[in-house]
Amino acid sequence: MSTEVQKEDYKYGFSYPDKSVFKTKKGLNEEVVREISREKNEPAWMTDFRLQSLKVFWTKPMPDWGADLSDINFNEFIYYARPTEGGEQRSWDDLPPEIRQTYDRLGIPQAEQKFLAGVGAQYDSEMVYHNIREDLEQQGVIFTSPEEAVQKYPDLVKKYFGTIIPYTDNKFAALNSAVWSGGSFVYVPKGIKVNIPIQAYFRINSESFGQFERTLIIADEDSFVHYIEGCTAPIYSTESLHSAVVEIIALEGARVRYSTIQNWSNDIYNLVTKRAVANRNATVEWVDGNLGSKRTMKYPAVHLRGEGAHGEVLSIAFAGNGQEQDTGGKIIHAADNTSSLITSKSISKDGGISSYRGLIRVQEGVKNARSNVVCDALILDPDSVSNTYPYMEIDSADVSMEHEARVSKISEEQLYYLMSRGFSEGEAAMMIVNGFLDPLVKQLPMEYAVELNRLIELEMEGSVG
Amino acid sequence: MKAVNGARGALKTAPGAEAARVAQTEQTEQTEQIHERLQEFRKSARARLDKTAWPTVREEEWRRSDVAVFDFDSLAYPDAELLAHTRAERKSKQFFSLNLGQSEEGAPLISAGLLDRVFRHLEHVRDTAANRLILWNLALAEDIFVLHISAPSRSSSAGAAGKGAAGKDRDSAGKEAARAERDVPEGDSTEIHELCWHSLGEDISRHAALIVLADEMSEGTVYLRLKGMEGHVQNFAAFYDLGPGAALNVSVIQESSEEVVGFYQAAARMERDSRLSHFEGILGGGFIKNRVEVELAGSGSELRLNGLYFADNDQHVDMRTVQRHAADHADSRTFYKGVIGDEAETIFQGLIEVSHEATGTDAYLTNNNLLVSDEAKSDSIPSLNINTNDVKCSHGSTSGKINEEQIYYFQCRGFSRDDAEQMLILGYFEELIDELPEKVQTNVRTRIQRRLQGSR
Repeated sequence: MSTEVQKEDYKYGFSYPDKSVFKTKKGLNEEVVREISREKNEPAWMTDFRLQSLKVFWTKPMPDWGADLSDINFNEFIYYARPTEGGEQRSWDDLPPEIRQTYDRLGIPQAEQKFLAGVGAQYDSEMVYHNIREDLEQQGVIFTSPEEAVQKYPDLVKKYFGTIIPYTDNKFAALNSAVWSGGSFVYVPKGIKVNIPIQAYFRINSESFGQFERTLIIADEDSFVHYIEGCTAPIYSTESLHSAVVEIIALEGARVRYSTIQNWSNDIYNLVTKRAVANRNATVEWVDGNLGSKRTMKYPAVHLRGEGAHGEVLSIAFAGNGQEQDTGGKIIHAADNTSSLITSKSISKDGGISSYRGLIRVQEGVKNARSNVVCDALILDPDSVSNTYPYMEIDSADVSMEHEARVSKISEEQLYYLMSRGFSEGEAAMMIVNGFLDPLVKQLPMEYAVELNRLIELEMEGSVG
Repeated sequence: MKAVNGARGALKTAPGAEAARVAQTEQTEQTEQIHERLQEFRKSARARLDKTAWPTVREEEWRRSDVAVFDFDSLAYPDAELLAHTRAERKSKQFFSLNLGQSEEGAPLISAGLLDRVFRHLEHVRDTAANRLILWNLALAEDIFVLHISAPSRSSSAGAAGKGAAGKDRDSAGKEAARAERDVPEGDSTEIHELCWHSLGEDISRHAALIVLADEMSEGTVYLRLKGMEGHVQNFAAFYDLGPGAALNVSVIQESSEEVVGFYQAAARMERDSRLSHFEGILGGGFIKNRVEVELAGSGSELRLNGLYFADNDQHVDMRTVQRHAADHADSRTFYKGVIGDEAETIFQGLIEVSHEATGTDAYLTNNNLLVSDEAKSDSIPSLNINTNDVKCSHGSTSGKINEEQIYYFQCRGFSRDDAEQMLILGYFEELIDELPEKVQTNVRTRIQRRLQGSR
């Protein structure tokens, strides 16, 4: 039902004729990987990295837990398509008209004027458009595509790329490491605080297409950056695979916040590995909104490796008809005086399945680790499902670890209260759901909060009564 | 499997030898009939057993407890003498042993109807066993005890009305039993049915099972004490079947020595409006892996799963609980509290599963862990699987150390740190101990104190 609403009313439900210039053939093999590397003019060490990853990909099993991934056929996807000649652009006007139209409708120019420091827009795997504000450049902030980083900043890349998430980590990290294309590379120098959020948009536009962006964010000592990733995609009937990898390093005293609103169309598999390392006195915050896709498996993680580090995961999941959101967060306390907070809010309706899967681990010998996990779930109708699988592995006594989870339906009392003040049942339910999500929505920048509220309204329309 | 045949041979002679002592012919006949049926059943269980494999760490429930190290297939079985001297002791006359063919001397025969029920139950367990250890148990159990708790009789004398009568068989077939009536006080639902097992042996496996059938509107209390010694596998399986409106209170205390590898696996089925309170006190053993799974199959049923564990030295304690809501408006609470010291490690895996039909479910799961030494380790994995919306389900888990402020409070009033810690730990467990039958309370408190003193 929500899919119909999206097709007819939702402004993001549209697509353009495919203008890709270069596409690899369907399927995954060594030749495809070499072609991708050739297309990007990569140095040998990166080609080797890709090939090694591919080898590991073949040896890794599919996960026997989590969302239902049985329909994925790796041979059916196209793993790379480059949309335009001439590489990256510098301003909106240089973009090909169709692509520019797509982004105009997405509202980027207006947004850019007000809030954004720079926008990297991804169209079918390539960073087509890139614009970095002058003052950021002057501060020494690097915000570019990972391809450009490989060419221009090989030392930084070699130092950190694949160190947080090695290609042996899991099957999908291996896949991404072999065929990655696009994403962002961000480096914030010591002491620099980027006050305006950095964003990048993604789109999948080719049938049976995979998205494998690779993001690496390095926040040097005492720096601050807020990176926003928001994805939308048009409706397609064949499956698409989105398997991204995001690595974040927060050096001593740094703070990184990474916000995502994922709203892929309901035929997409979204299998993402996101992990951050927080060094001494550093903070990493993941704000993760999962509204779309057919299947999402994503567990943003923070490894608290330095003393005094802090990690947070704020997660919203909305599972509608035919969707499975299997999300959560993982925090590993590997140093003294570390703290963590995981807040997860999920909603399931129309037979959707939403699961929280998380881990809090305190290593042996760690002193003064504090952790709090709260998972709340709303099930809106009898056919929907909500699951919670929290894992607490505590190997030290000097801890204070709390976890709680609650599952329920919309409170009859709350509905009655609002209805007796003149709201219809539908309006009341919508307000309650928005209120349920409010603590997390408040953490997002305004335009995301607005988009999120609008999306919730759309999902809720017609679901009550 | 030569060892098994040897044991079967041993089992065959032991009851035969005992039955011969009994004067009454009916008992001998019935014993032999039961014996045959039991052997048939064991054969079928063995057939199933051979088709299964031992649990491995690849299975989620066994991930943190690797039982492959025990090499179950290499273990021998108790010889006839060991068996005769160390089978489980029935401290209540109501227990009937399928192996021995009678309860106590002078006790009534088990009715044919009841026997059918028991075997049907056993067959069901055999066909749906959660793991190989349960099948292993059914095939080799030294004793399969049956405790039948019948409903309060309407025609009984004063005092029985309003109290559940435990023990007297009310089936029509019970008329046969009238010949062997014993003088057990009628209508005594306060009687505690105690079973105490001093299992013994080195490099062997010992198995015993208990089936409790609680009739409609009956009330009963069961107290199991597992007191093994020496390095053997102590495999106990329990099955609790509660009829509509039945109320059953079960306490299981694991008080074996630290060489024992103990498995307590319990499954319960609750019918409409029944109430089950099941308490697990893990105060012994070296490697413990327990599983308590309850199906709330009747609406309005009420379940309390309580657990207390005090792990020290290098104990490994792994507990699994499952609250399975299959019917509407049932109410369940799991509450497990543990203290972990020295280099012990504990794992708690609790699951609340609510089916699509279980509307109006009210379920809660709590696990608290108090770590009192630097090397202690504790894993807590409370899970929820909810398939309908009209529910109230929550779970909570905490892990931490003793509050320094509370210790300071005691110290200011003249107590030593050790004494303060001891009092705090006893206090921590008190809310669980308080709800137990008095006899059990005493035992539990004594054991906790011993452990507290032992480690100083």
